[in-house]
Amino acid sequence: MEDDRALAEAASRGDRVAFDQLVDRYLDRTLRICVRLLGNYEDAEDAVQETFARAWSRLKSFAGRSTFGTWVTTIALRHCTDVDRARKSRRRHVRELPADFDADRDGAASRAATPPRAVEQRELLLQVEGALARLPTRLRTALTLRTIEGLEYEEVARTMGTSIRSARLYVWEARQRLTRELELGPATRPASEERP
Amino acid sequence: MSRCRHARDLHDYVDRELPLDAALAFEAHLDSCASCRAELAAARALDDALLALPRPRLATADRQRLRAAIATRIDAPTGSARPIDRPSLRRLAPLAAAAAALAAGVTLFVLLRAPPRANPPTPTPSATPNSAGSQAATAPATPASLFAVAPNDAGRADVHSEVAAILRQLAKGHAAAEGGELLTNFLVAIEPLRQRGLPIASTLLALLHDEDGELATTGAQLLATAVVAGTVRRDEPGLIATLDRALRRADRATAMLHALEAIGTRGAYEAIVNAAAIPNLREPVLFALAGAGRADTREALQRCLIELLRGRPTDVALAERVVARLAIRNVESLQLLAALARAGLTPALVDERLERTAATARPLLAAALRGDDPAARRDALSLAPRAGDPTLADAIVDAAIAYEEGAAALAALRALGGTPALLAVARWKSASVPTKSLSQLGEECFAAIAAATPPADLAQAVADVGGMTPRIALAFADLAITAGGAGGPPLRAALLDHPLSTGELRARAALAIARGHEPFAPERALALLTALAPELVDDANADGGLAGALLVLLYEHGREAELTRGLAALGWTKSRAQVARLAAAARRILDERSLDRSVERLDTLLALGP
Repeated sequence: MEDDRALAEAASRGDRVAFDQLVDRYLDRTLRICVRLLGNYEDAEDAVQETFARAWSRLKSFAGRSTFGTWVTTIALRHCTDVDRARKSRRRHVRELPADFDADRDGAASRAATPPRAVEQRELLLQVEGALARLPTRLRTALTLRTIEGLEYEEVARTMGTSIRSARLYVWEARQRLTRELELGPATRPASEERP
Repeated sequence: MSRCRHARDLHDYVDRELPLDAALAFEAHLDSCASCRAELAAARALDDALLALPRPRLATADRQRLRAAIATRIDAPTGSARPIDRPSLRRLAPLAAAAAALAAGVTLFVLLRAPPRANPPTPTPSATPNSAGSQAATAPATPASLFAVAPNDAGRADVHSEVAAILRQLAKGHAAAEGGELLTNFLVAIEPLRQRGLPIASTLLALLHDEDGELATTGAQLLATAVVAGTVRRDEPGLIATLDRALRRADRATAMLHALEAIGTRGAYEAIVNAAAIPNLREPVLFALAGAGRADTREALQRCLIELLRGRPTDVALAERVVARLAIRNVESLQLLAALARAGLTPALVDERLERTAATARPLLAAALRGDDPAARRDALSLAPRAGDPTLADAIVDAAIAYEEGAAALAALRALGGTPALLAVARWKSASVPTKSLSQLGEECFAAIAAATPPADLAQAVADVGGMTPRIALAFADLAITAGGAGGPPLRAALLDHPLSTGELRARAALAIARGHEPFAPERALALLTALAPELVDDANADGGLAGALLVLLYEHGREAELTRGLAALGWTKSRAQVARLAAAARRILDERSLDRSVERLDTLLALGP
């Protein structure tokens, strides 16, 4: 399989096949991030289209200082931020993903063995989705990239245009808020005393 | 959250960022620390919950569709690659359904666009509409556009009556039929005439003037459906003019109006606007114009409605009914609404319209506020507080700063109120604005909105400080320092405790505490001093004020033990006399009115030492 850099270079010379391969590689992740940030599937699809269209038109400015994945995620984040600002779609966050949007079979969601547990699991997922949706955008973005998408902090920081320390703070703060909201942990105390 | 000193390792441990030796040490610590174990369990529960979220993968068909959409967008010329305007498509849903019904007979639909052939092929059974009966079996598969038949003088005399007969026949069952079905049936029925080269289109137009109003109405409905389906071109010569003339006859006027709406071109709407002068058409015309929400008919509609608003009660009632249907699809529609509000339209109706069209109205308001059209901007400023969308505050502030719309923005923001407005005004307050008066307005606006915002919301705004720039956060710090009453303590606590808060912010909050807004709490002061000591050493510029404030606090309350420990935390060794002089100097500085100067001078003082 050709690496991203080679494909991006070919694409920047106008090779659409190479670009299509990159699209294919990052389509799922970009869509997942957009759904998480915009909260609804329709806006996310639009955002994905816009993201890759922008990526294509700006390929020449992709200097390769980051990976293609980071670069395209940065484009997606910026676009989602604009959309979010314009539409404030957090009010319209869906509580469920579309039925035809299949969950990854490797994911923990599929571990539900019995119907009652499945219902319980579903309710928890809805709570987590809701709590995530209520996080401030930067915290939600950082947590999504780091914990849910598994990016390295360096990549999270570069994508969000911030420092690694800030990225870590965002993730930490997001976790604190979710823990409180989902009532997963003991009572909290002032956060300033325990920052990472 | 754990009070254990190892708690700060917990995050890194869960995040797999702790170096191996530190991780092993932390695990060893876990055996003896119930607090950290509980924290770890909570963190892992959260991880489980987050990782249990679906990680969706696109189904193959969706993947292909999305890739195709991306390719289309890339290939589209600049400006055409925008997301589909879903609301406008929804508006056309009934007509689109008619077109879809027609498209379902794929062969027929395609062949309508094909050039005539000399030898028609065998009819395709799948293209035969059920309702077309035996006529369908003979329907050749070669009709061109409805208006593209070569005229044939032979039989011209009969064609009018034949087409009329077909229309009458179709009209009988039309009540139950969809527009698409009417068109399909018509096309099938007239095919023998077309094959004879008879001028169907001109005949159909002529029928719009037939003495039989019902017949003309059916003809107009047929044309409207054909236009939407693409079977008739919108710019077909003579089409609009014919409809325009027929519009003046009361027994068919409504159908002609709907046909013009379906055509939807500028010329069609000019005809509709002209029809407003016809007394019995005024109401449907106004409804049509309001529903279309077009920029090019705004002035005409505005003129009519303002005239109505100044008229008799029945006229006012009509204007209100029209406004209730006003579509907001462009900035001009918003300007119309603003003009009507100025002309005396009931405010509740303005609010209701903005609420019902919120999905389009709010982005348009934001666009107008940030746009370079002064008239549109001022109209948007007058409507924004009514739109019920606090997020418009940002756009209002943009208008204030970029276009110096300070006074209007001030009024709009005060009316809007709430935390988002406060956040936005904080940006204004802290921005470099072109004039001093604009800056003063920002200050005034911030103070006014802050005064009207509940203390809990203020604290929440500070808690969300991560979304703000440091300069904006400083605006809140000033607020925190001066906030009195019940709102002060939670606001200052939020400022002190926020993990993203800068050292300077915490310093300012602590200054507020030191100045006596809060009951003296030496333990709290000491805890803060100790917790922040490492940062204070590294960040003397920002936190020197905090150190000074806390030292003064401790000294003046005679807490020598805590003071000594506090100084030790800062790495200082001073005599009591030195500390006394330092505290006295700091106290004087703290008593000064200018907080900025206080912080600055304290920094200097502490850096020099007594």
